[in-house]
Amino acid sequence: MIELFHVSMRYAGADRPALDDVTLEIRKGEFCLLAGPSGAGKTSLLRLLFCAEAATGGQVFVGGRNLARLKPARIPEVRRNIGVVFQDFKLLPGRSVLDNVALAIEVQGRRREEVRERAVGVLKQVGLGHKLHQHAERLSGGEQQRVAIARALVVEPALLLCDEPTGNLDAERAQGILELLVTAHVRGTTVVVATHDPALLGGNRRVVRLEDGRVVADVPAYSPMSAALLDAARKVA
Amino acid sequence: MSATALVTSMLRHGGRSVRSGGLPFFFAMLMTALGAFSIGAYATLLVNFARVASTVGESVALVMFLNVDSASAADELRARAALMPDVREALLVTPEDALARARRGLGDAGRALEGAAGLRMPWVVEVTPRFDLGGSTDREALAQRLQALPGVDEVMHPAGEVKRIDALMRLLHGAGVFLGVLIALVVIVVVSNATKLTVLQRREEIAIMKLVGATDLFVQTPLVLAGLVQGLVGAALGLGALALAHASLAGMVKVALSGALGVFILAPMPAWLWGALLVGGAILGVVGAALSVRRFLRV
Ligand SMILES: Nc1ncnc2c1ncn2[C@@H]1O[C@H](COP(=O)(O)OP(=O)(O)O)[C@@H](O)[C@H]1O
Ligand SMILES: [Mg+2]
Repeated sequence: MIELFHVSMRYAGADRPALDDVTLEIRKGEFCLLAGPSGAGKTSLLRLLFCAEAATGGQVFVGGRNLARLKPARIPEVRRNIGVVFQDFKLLPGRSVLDNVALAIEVQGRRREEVRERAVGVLKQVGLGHKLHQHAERLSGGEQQRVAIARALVVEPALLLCDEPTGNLDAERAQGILELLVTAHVRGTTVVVATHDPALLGGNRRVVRLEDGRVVADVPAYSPMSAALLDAARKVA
Repeated sequence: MSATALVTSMLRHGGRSVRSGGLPFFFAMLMTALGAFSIGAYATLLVNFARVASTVGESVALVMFLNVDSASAADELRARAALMPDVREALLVTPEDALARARRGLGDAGRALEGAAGLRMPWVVEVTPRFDLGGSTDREALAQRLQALPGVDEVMHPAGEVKRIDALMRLLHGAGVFLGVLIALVVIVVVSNATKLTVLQRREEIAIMKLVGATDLFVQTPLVLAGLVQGLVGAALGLGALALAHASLAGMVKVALSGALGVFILAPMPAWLWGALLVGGAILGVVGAALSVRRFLRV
């Protein structure tokens, strides 16, 4: 699903690279956590994957496409297969929760009824079925996070990228968010989560640790046992 | 993915652009209306001026003096003149009539001609040229062509005042074209500015739309449609105002100017110009919006 070969990336005017010689493979169906202190390059790595930044060196492949060779006109196509949950949510203020979620499929030119139906469905899934017509900015942080996740999931993406999805939430709410991500994963979505929240790092999941733009550790999910459990769960779901 | 869904969705976003356009949007529309009204009013004046000028211009005829002897030869030349392009009418004047006219023209001195036996006037043809709006009827050329006919002695054409009218018409036309270009530029600038403000105001929304996979076309089309609305609706409003103004002025002008010139009716501008101004407004709106979209939509 994702392959990085010796990828480096430096922001214009920065004195050191945000990513430095990163080589990494994330397979289809994986749940991968990107850990590391603030400034390690987690967000930058995610931004590479949905074409918000371009690598300054190395090769990035997403879903078999070489992003360096991608024509700008093809970028929307790539993004439509990726759900992104931004750290700052990037919701439209002054627009309803439903509008915000609908936007992601609307830009694909779906029929209006289908757009509405799917948006409502996903919002019910994340527990916001009763707040469809509220303005997004009037919701609590945890609720906004859910709207952001709903917008990412509504396109049924093959790949879900989340940047600090439990950033400012208490443990209970963070757990709720994690469950949403796990549900998406169980349904077959590849999930990559950037976080420095220890609560998220506790589970049986692969953790790639970044520091100063470099991969310093890559700990696979252990126990084949739990992988078997996951498969069983998938069949049920 | 269906094309109609895509289009309705873009239309909805266009509607949002229109609504979020606010004051600059309506200012652009107003300027377009004002522009269409001004051009239309000027064109109406020009059309009516041209009508008056053509009455004057056509009343000044060219005079061909023939050196033929028979009435049939003279009439054949008259017929040939009448068939020329740019000629509206050709009238034959017999030598007797010509003499009578000459006498009248000379007044008292004309009596001297009375006894003058053996004085023979030539056959004469009076040629009335067409007078068109563009002033493109070239009287000099017409005179030369008439002169070239066999049996024509001399062609007299009172060039002075006609030339002055022609020149004035050309000047007014040139000024009209200049005015039109100027107004077109103003419309492009204000629509482009309104679009720029909309883009800046909706920058965040546009950025998010692109992040979730909107194509450039999807983002740009609604903005260009909003430009189209500014141009088209603006022009329609301006032309509507012009039609109203024309209807209310026509009556007054008819009363004020009829008499000396017969019944004077304030003519409207030609139908094609109404259509052209409407289409022109739409095109300018699209161009203005597209310019801004190209410049400011790099998100
Ligand atoms: N837009 C930017 N322009 C310049 N430098 C940036 C920008 N965004 C991030 N950086 C720098 O790149 C490095 C990695 O940042 P980031 O990817 O945001 O880290 P993380 O998400 O792990 O906290 C940091 O040193 C940060 O200061
Ligand atoms: Mg970050």
